[in-house]
Amino acid sequence: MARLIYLFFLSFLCFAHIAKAQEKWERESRIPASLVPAKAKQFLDSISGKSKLKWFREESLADTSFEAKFTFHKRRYSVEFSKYGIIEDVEVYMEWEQLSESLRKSIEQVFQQNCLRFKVEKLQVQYSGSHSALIRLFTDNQLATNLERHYEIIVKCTQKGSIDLFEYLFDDQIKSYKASKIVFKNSSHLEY
Amino acid sequence: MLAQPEYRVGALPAVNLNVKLKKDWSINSRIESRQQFENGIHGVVSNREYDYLLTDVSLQVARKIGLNGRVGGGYLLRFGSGELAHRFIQQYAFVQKKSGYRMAHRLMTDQTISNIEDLELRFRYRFTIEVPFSGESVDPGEFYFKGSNEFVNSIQTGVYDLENRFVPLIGYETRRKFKVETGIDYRVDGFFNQSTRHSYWYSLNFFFEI
Repeated sequence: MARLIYLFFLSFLCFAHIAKAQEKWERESRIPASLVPAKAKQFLDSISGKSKLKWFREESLADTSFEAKFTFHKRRYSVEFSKYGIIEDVEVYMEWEQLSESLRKSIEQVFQQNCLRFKVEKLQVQYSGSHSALIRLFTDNQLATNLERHYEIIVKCTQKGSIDLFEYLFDDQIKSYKASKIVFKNSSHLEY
Repeated sequence: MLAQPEYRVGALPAVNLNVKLKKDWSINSRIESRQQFENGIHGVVSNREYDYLLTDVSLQVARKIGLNGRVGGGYLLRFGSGELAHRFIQQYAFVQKKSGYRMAHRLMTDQTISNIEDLELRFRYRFTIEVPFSGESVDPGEFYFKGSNEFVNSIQTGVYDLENRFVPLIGYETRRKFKVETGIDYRVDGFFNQSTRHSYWYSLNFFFEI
């Protein structure tokens, strides 16, 4: 009896396994600085006063990129580079209350339209632009005028019958935005 | 004088299948067998003989509650060594994502009726942590550590017992999101009736997701 149940179960699983073969693949792994492109390391070397530097490599079927995470002037930063070490953007973590009141009001209007209730979980300001403009964020501690700015916000959103996390990406003037639902990684091996 | 503790050594292979349904519902089914390779009393006697003990087949239906919680209920059928047991399960679990690891808490109650034993009621709490070997979270093609500690309170014919389960495992997630875990499932029970028993099970878990 036990053997029969096992055989049935295993044959069912084999079929399910084949059916799932077309999943997309992404992987983030911590790497030593020796595996980071020289240009990316040079950018980080030019930032004095940083601490807790960690390097990550993000791989997908289409591309590879590198990310440096560190603390600078008590704020957490994340800098993303292409696989050749070309800087792509700088992200800084901020508290919701650190945004100006007018910006918060504009953003909250969007959340109020889309959610019955909401709570901001995480805020990152993204800066993109030229290498020299981005390095001034750390050397002169000021914003260059030619930097492009976006706001990435993780928000807990209650809608009819469900509570989900969404990632919103707003442009500088909060005139347009993209929203995507965050899908949690499977956790059945932690629950059963 | 305290009695010498009993011990058991064996294996607990298990296959777990989780099926996602529409509107936050899911079904989890599991089959697990228990096989004993050795048992005895520490320092007194040991018996090295293979013994197939039992097989559990279970099915649970669950629904996502809130952002990261899940409530479920189901049925488990246990058979082996002349025993046929029926267990009814209710559980609530929630998972927290932290920077670099995940934690899960599970509260469970179950009621077991059997052809050879009296009704047994249990209340269980399990804490689990998952730590990737690399990066912020476990991605396909990566290894991870999973450790859990569970307290199983039971009452049967008016007698209370507490069992503790400590399970450190090494896991691997394939690129097709199939997981395999292996390690030791250590259990100690009989705290309160002077018949302490230590169980060391070699654990091998397979998880499939549809």
